[in-house]
Amino acid sequence: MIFPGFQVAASQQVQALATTFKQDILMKKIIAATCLAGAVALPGLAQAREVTLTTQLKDYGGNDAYLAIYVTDANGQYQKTLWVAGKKAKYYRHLTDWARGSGMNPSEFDGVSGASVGSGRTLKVSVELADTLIDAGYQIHIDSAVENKREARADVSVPLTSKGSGKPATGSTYVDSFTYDL
Amino acid sequence: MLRQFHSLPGLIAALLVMILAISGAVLSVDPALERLHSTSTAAGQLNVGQLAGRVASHFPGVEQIQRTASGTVIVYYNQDGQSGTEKVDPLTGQGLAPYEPSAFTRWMKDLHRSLFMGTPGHGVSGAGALFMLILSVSGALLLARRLGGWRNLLRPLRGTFSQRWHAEVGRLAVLGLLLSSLSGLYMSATTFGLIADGSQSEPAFPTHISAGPALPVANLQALQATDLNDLRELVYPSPGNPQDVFALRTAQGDAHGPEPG
Repeated sequence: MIFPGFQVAASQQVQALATTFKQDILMKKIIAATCLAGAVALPGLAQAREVTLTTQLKDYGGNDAYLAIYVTDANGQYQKTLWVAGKKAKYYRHLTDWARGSGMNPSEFDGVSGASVGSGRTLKVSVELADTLIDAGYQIHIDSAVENKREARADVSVPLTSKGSGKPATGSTYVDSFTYDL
Repeated sequence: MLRQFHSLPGLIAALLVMILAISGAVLSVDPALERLHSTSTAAGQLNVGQLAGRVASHFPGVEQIQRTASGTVIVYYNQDGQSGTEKVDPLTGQGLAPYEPSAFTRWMKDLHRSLFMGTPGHGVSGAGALFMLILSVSGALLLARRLGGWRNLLRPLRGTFSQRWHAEVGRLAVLGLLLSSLSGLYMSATTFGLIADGSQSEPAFPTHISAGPALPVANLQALQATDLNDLRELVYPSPGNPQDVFALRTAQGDAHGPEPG
């Protein structure tokens, strides 16, 4: 809804200052209206909470690991990215399942990415998670990859439930243990 | 002027260029060593479908087959929730030994690429390659001047040993040094994303997949049509995900193929 307003404003930038000023007020009104509508709609739709993800890596001896922590449905279909560790997008395709699910679309991991994680190190991050994903048959998966070593899809795969909160799960390849605290 | 252009970078960068040259020389032996220990197959002897079939009979939980440029075939598999990596004999598909990349090579590579300093180190290494290029070019120009032109480049050098040894060694090495510095600069430029390294031209993952009954992997036509020597990587679909497909990476390019169901 907000975009037509912006487009109008953008295309008429060359017009007189007075017109721009009017546009500006109009735009602010649109933004305000959208925010208000969002605030009314949000509580019912998406109650979110902060979840802490703790990923302890094994001492695998190798370069820093790239990790993708994401939510899938019960069939393993990608739903949402929680965190991506590793900054060079050209290596993301090695996080196979996540890369396929997310299409490596930057909007999928905007604001939830950081540095790669060294051998034996721990990654601890807090992210927003919608309540609707908890106790609803969804899972948390971690795909991992290390240069010159194997890549692992579903290094970790755990059901996302309130009962499982705080209980460490073991990984198959580079992840030693993974815990989520709701 | 030209002489200063040659000696000043030489003084400043001598240590850096030497570290890069020596570590590079050590690394250059690696592919040859690896080749010695791998089974080579003639073109047309074995296709990827045959290999995949043989591997599948020894590794039920196979996830990925990789073939290095020097011919080592590596299988990634998953068994009882633990993952493994094994070097296999391409002729039988049988595991030879767990595959573990050499820690020494990794250390040397890290030194060569970034002097253990991460991203700033990559920049320093790139600058080292640039210094090497400047030294090679200015050295070649000096040599040509000393011998009286490019046509006389191969003539014997005059003077005492101490006057000519640097020029003698330089003349022998200059082509190799030019190649090394240019390839180093190229790799540095790809690291910093200044030029494309080919990974951008990959096919998109197919959006529409027609699921049918599963074929045995050895019967997939695309795999039968690919010679083992062209294989880089074959990624199997995730077990239990009917929407997933095979991904094949060859010396010529990438493709996605039908899933086994």
